[in-house]
Amino acid sequence: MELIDRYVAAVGRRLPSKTRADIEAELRSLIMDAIDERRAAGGEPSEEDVVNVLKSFGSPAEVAARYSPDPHYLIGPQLFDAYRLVVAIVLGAVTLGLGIALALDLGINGVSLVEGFGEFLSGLVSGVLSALGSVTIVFAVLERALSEKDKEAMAGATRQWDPRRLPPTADADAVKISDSVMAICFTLLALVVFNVFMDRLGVYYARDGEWRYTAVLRRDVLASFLPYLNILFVAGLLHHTILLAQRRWSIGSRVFSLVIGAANLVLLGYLLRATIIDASAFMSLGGSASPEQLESLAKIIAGVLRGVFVVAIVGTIVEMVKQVVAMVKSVAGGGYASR
Amino acid sequence: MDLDTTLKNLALELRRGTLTLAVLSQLTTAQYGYSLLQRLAARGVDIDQNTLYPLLRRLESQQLLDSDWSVEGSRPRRYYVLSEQGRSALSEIMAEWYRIVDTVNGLLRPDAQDGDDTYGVD
Repeated sequence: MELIDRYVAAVGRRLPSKTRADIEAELRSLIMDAIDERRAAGGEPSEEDVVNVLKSFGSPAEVAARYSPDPHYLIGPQLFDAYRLVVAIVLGAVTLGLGIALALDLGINGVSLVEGFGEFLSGLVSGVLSALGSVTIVFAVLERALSEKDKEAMAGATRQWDPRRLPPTADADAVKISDSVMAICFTLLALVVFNVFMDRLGVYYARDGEWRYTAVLRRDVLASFLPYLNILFVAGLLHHTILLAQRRWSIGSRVFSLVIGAANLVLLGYLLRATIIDASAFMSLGGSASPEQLESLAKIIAGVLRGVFVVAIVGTIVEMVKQVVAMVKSVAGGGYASR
Repeated sequence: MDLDTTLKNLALELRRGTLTLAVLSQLTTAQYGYSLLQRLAARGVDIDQNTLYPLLRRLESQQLLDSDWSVEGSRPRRYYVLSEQGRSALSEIMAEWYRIVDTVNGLLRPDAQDGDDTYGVD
């Protein structure tokens, strides 16, 4: 019976080699029993009878699956929690690393914004793919190499929990008081520094036993930004004071924070392109350093400053996206009506 | 899912739990797959061949059954029979079965629902 041979072989191919021969033999004998039953009903079994019997046993893949005690996982349920954790850590590390590289590129190496972000994105895609791939391969190997006992132990380690250690249920509309207090403190500090002590921002150094100071920031450039900076500082103070008074986010305060965020973006964009560091002031530092060294020092400081602006831009965008998501959730959840 | 399918699934689930007991109970004497299938069918246990055959192997791997190839008939057949462990397992599962039947019957007796009229169905 050629059909039976083909069927049994198709099942066998899907079985582990350890039990293959034995299950094949038993399956063949069971199929013959079923065919015998048809034969008893009348004469030689036709090809159609054989086909019907084989169909009643089910597809080779189904039969093989029924005989395999455990489902085949690439990464099984015991390891999956650990896998997810490692993937999250690795992806976070890749993104952080590329972000730092981007900041350095834009800052110190003077790479243009477009080029920098292009490299960042292409690096992100290939980095995420290869990180995901290698973590998956490691875990797939572990899935096959570890004993059931070890896997259970690993599952136990990631599943340890205590009701008291669960995070509190998030109230998306609650104002985090510490955040607002911090924001107010830093804004006040910045307000004072930029308005009162702007002349004092510079390089302090000791020479001949006495402290000297050189202003390295272009005061004229900063002064042109100052009115806008002040408006944003005051708006920020107002925003956080209102939040502290209301204790809950409302649509109005969310829109207000989005407006401030957008204005911040514009200002940061201008700051990024402005020449704030006074290179000539560095030249006057003199001392034992050569002009080339001073020039590169000025470049590095300018680069770090630009890196800070880039980080601030990214942070502002992230905050604004979070704000929009929270606003949509709040409106969809009826938060609009309740306030 | 309509009510009919739900009912069918409930009945199926109820029966599934009893299959192992049904199979073990019929293996005090050696049987091969097909003969056991017919024996169970004759006694009203409707079990699919595709469920029974893998189940036999699983019970063997759990050391509740012993098996042996025998060439008594027209072709070699694998015969299964209760192992020593299987015998004691069978008597324990039987005791469990009677306990369950008693408990559930107790729940289902009409007088068990007395004094609960507020939730009575019409």
